Amino acid sequence: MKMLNAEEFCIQKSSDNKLSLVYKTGKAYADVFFVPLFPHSMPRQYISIRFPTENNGEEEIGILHNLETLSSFEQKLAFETIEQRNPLAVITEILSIKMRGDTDHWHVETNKGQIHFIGERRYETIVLMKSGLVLVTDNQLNRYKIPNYYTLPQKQRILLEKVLS
Amino acid sequence: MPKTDKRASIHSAIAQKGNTFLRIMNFARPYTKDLARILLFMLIATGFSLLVPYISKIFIDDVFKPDHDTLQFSHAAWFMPAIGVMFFAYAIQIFSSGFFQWLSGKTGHKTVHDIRVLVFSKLQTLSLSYFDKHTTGGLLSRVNQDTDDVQFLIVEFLPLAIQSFLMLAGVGVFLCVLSVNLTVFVALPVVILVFFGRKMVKNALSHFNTYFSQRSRLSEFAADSLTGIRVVKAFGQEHRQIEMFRDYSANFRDTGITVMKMWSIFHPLMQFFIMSGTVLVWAVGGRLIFAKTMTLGTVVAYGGYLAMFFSPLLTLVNMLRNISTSLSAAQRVFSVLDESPKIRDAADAVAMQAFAGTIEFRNVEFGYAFDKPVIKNLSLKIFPKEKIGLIGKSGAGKSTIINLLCRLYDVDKGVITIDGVDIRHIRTQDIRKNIGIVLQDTFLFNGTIFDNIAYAKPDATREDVVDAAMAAHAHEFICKKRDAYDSLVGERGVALSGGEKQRIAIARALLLNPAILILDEALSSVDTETECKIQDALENLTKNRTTIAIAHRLSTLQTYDRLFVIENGQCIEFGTPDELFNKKGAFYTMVTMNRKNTHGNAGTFGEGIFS
Repeated sequence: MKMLNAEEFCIQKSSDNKLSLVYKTGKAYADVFFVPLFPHSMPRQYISIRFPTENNGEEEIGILHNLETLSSFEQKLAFETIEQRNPLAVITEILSIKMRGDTDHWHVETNKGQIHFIGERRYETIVLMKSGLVLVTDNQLNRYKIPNYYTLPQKQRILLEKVLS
Repeated sequence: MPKTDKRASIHSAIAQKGNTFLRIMNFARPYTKDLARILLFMLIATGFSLLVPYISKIFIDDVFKPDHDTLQFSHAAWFMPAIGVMFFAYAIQIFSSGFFQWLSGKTGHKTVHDIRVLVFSKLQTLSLSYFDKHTTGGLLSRVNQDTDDVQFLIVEFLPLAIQSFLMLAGVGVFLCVLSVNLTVFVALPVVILVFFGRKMVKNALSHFNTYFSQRSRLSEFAADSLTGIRVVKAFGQEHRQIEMFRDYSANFRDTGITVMKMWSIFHPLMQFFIMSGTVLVWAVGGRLIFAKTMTLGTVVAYGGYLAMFFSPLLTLVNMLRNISTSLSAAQRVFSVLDESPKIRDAADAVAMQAFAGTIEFRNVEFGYAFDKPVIKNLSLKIFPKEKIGLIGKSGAGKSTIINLLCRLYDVDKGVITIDGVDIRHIRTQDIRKNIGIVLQDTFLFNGTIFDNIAYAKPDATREDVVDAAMAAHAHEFICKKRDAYDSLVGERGVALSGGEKQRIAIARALLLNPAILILDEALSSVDTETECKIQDALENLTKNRTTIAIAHRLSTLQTYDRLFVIENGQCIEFGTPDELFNKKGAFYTMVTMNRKNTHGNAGTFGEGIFS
């Protein structure tokens, strides 16, 4: 595993909003992007920094152990690209879940405001992970996460249980 | 079956169930404090419930009865205190009952949890030979359904049975205190009830046993069919499965109808005897009132106590069906718990932290059934860090050799040694730790990719797992998944191709870093393109460790040091690929056949054995 040392490079944003990684030695990679290797269990650690290659391929420059070793500006850039590549709204409150036919109609409060969405009732639509994280995918393939099933208020947990089979 | 034999077998079944019941009670031992509390609250509830009919008697005979001469209610002052006592008696009875029900439920659930964990733990320790003889559906039924049925016995039946017996004893005393004469009359239907009840119960038990065995078989069949649903669909056997299920269900239905028929005779008969008791009380009690030898209050109180006497009897009889299910379930649970693992560490088993990797089979014989040997007088020796291929037709015994080496089964004759030590004298955990396996069908558990790679080494760090994935050429495809190493795989997870699954299995084996590596048809389920990618990963995996590979595709063994040709459980040839080819024996035939199948000509040795 090639680990990257944040002191040896910097992340820059070009005029066309693309990121590049430039080593102090002068070596540079254009159009880089960040892939958290453990996006749910360790979102800020083990970040693979990659660049595109020919034929829609991609290559890893190395792995950054901790995103916080970057400057705050670089961290912001990294988060933006991660969010763009894999948007995931955080559900802060389940307001209602109504079961209609083979679909579930969700009304939730998220970090991006109140959202209504529809999910198909298939077992891969809602997944409860060992850590308590719940991932919900709607029928437009947008994803939402409930950070911890076990700390949900009782009323919301009962609502979720109805569809978490 | 002759009548006496049948009776003996029923008696033996009942005795067995009695023992089973006592064994279940043993599981409640850690909760004796809770049990003592339950008993205390039961006594309180029963005691206070017995007061109520007596207070009714006081109301009728004293409080509401005017004085014969003055026509005044001389005991009117007792009215409010009696109401108060009645209210408190009811209240204490109700709350004590609630409390003991909560306590007994809690204790029952704790006990059943212990049993369930014990059954699952036991299944984990049993040898593979046990699983060869039992269906997955049946075992699932042991862990889930049977333990649930046992739960009824502890959570519902036991508290109710104790309370019923306390009630019967308490009421019996009050009945005698109120009127011995009346009690003698009332005892008559009870004696008849007990006499007929016993006979019918014995008869019913045998039907119940059949009923619940059939229910168990039905659920085992359903569980097996659903577990193997892919195979069912792949072979278009849905209709056959439905027909078989219909047969199982029809048997179950017919026995169910017989049981219900018996029950519908038995239950009204019981109620008839109970009703007879009540009628007798009024018939005999009424005459005693007319004869002025008994008061109306006494007869009313007596009637009340009689209802309290018959009610627990009826409840216990109603529970009979469930008790039988629970006891049968408990017997099946104990059949698992009583099983002893065939493979266990010897008392003098040695700890071997790291193997060098020398393996020797000396005159080994083995069969899954004792009269059908699969391995016959097999002897072979593998040196540390040697790469060995086992080749031969299907059923030749190659996988059995691996099973024996991993000590999933013990040899019938001969000995297998690792680094000169008989594997029966090496701690099983050391064998497992030092042997890594990559199988043809990679099983991934429900969990993340990280969990699956780290499965054999739960203390592995994130770096270890990523390093292993990189060496297995899995890191790149993992990074392309939306949740990378946190992606869920298994039943509820993302779909992985055969090649991806195989690389995860290789990463898992790499992480374990075993001294001995076994590749059991590790490449047979992937296409040639994927095979090339995996071959690279395998090169990394087999470096510096003893490797034994089973492969039908001979090309995958071309870089191996030696090959062993297995036929009918014996090694008929061994040597380097070149030596074996030049020998023009079984291996030569296999290679030329292989070539004919792929190229249409036998070719020559100079072209490369496997080309």
